[in-house]
Amino acid sequence: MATTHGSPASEKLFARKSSGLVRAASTTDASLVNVYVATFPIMVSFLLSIVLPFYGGANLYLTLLIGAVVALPILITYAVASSIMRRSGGDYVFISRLLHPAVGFAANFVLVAFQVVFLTSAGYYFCLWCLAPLSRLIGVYAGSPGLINFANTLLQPLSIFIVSEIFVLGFGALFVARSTRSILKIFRYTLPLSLIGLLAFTVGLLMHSTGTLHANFDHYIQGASGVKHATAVAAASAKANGFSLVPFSLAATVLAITWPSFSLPYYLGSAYFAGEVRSGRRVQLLAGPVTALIGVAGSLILLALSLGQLGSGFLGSIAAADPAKLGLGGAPTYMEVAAGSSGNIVLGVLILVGFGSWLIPTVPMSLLIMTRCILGWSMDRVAPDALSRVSGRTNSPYVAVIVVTAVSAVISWFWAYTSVFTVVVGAFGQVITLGIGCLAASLIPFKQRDLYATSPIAGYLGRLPKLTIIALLGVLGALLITINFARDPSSGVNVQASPVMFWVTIGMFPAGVALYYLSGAIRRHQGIDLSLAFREIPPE
Amino acid sequence: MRIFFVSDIHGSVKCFRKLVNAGKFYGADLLIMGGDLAGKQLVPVVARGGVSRAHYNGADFTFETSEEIADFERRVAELGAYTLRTDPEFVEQLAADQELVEQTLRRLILERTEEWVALAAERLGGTGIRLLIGLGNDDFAGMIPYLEHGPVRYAPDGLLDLDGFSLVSLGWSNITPWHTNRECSEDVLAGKLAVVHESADPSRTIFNIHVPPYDCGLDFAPRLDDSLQIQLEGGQPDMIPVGSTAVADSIAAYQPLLSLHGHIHEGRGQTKNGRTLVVNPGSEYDQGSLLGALIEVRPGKVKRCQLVAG
Repeated sequence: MATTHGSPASEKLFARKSSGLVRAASTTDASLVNVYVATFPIMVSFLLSIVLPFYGGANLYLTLLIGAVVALPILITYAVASSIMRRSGGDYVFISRLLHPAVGFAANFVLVAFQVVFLTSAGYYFCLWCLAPLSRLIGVYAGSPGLINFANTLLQPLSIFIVSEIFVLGFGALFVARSTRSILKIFRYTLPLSLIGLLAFTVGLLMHSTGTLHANFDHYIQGASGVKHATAVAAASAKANGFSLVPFSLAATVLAITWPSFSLPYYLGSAYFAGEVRSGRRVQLLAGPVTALIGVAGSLILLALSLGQLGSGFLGSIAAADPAKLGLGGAPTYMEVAAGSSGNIVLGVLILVGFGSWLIPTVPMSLLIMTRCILGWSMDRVAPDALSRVSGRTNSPYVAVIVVTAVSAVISWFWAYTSVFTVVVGAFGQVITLGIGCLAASLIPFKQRDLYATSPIAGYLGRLPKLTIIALLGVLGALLITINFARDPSSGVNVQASPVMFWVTIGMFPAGVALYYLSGAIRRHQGIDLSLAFREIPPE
Repeated sequence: MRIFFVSDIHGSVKCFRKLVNAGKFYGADLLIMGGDLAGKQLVPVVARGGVSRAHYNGADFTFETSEEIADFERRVAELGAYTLRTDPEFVEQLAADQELVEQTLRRLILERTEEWVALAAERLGGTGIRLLIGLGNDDFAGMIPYLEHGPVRYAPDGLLDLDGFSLVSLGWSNITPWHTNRECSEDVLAGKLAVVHESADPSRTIFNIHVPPYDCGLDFAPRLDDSLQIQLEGGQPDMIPVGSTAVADSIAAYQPLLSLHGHIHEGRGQTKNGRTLVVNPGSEYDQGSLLGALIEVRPGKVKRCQLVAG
């Protein structure tokens, strides 16, 4: 039996007038919002503020492309697997069914646990990257020392903690009080702001020469802190800190893929909601990979604009310099640099508001992913029944939301007052889960033969099913990323520099397995056999 | 009484065989199929120029041998569709005549139903396990005569005495965007549900109503436009309640012990409406996975309810 996909169908498939047969959602619609959720301008910020100054010789473009190549098999595997085995909860279902329920739960438990790190990072970065720079920028242009001082106040741990709590508790309360669809409507307002911000960023950088941009930045910093010739001051400070532009290094380029990898779980948003799409296979197949490609293209453009117009030496110096030498509480992001360098308050405000808007979807999407996974556990009786309790008024899984919100409210304190977490910490455990998911997906052609044989991706290369090959490449990709995280001193999960966080993350997997068996024992005591939720009835 | 309830298997041979085996597997003494036995899709396998071709699930398939065709037919049947070996001319007729599609599919649905019921009667005979099959909105009345055979019984719309419990079945739904065989207005549904009041004791009454109650959390489906395309909100399918208000009112007013539903495949879950436990096991028939609810009841109490994926 030969399978082709995409060729003109010579024969048709006919259907009765029966409920449930729908047309899939537009791939473009799904991908565009997923790009937004994947927040690529935030990832570019990490490339410019961390990789550029501290990974000497790394080529940012190549880092991005290598990261994409390594991640692509993971994205394709998840897209195919969630298309073939659809259900809310994403990999929880197919890992549970294809490997073992305990492994499925443990992998999903880790993913949920580390989504908390992502969720709580949003308020932290919103304060640092949007509110404080915005206050400073308006203060400079309005000549208001009060606003400039307020910017410094916003950089204090207490301010960061308060903003983070407003984010976490605010969205948590919204989720309890309103329906999911009304929360997602927020994107209707924030997405245009984000896109306008990117447009303003582009205009702001292209309307001036590099020299003028640097002069405008000097003027901006002088207005903010009184420090004159900021460009030269930053260059001297960065040099003293050991920064210089060094020749290309493949090793540094590869090591730096840690940073583009952190946003990988977000490109899989459609996989985690796949269970709700009926006949939506095309969307599921394409949304993840297409989203990633759009994200990579957008990142390349942002990098080209930033490095081309502002210069890598200039941006690297600002990131590597001691912020105190510029009179600032923290190093400005490339967006603040662009806002200040544009020399125009309107453009500057649009750039910073737009940049802040890119951080907003992180919170509701993380909440959604986590609560839906928890609902899946509860429905299978692995987690307490109360966690699947749904509000009769809003249909919100309010108990799960309250639990997630409460945990996040505590974790927010660590972001504000410690340096325990980086966004990469959040990605580390999740990438291991993705690797386990790919391993499970590689078994689909063997354990779900009918589903695979009749799927659009059915087919073999030699004796191996195509999906198995792609999935094993995904396993390899996840393994490479994981190893990279563990050996990267800046990742926050480096085995030497951050051994506690490294082992805590690794230890979450056996903890998840132990929780599964503990839950099984409790349920057995209640007269419920947990394994029945997963065990397949012999069909013969 | 230990009940295993499923719904919406839509022609999946694999799911039906699992259903027949579920009694022994789960230790249930009553299997209830809550409707929508009938499948939806017809896949012509068209012979032309020495090879046969078919289109299914977004892919084109080419077969050179009858073994390859048989293998494809078996796999497609496992997941719920019906194949038909035919020629290009008949395919053209099908393309031009929706009524012919319906007639052809009904014939294949009846053939498969007959085979299924015979298999169930053979396997369940002498085991003490009974199988009750109700209809759903995608089924049709012509199937009813095929649903009575030994331990397999048709669950008619209305009341059925069941070992001291009253089973109230209704295989109709409120209006859907597809205008299927067995759907009607909420007023008509309310009229059909009036039979409930003939049942004496709510604590011994079990509803087996295909469509779930409106806005109960188990009736959320993607919002569609006029062309039946899924609408998104925030990049995700925009989920809205599509259950029946008449069913919701009936449950609220009568408060049966247990209310079993299907219809909305995405609506898997269980919830409480006053004293009533409301259950929708969901459906993944097109993956060959039999979603069900394992329920133990005694008068006045649902001892346990566990959602399973067999």
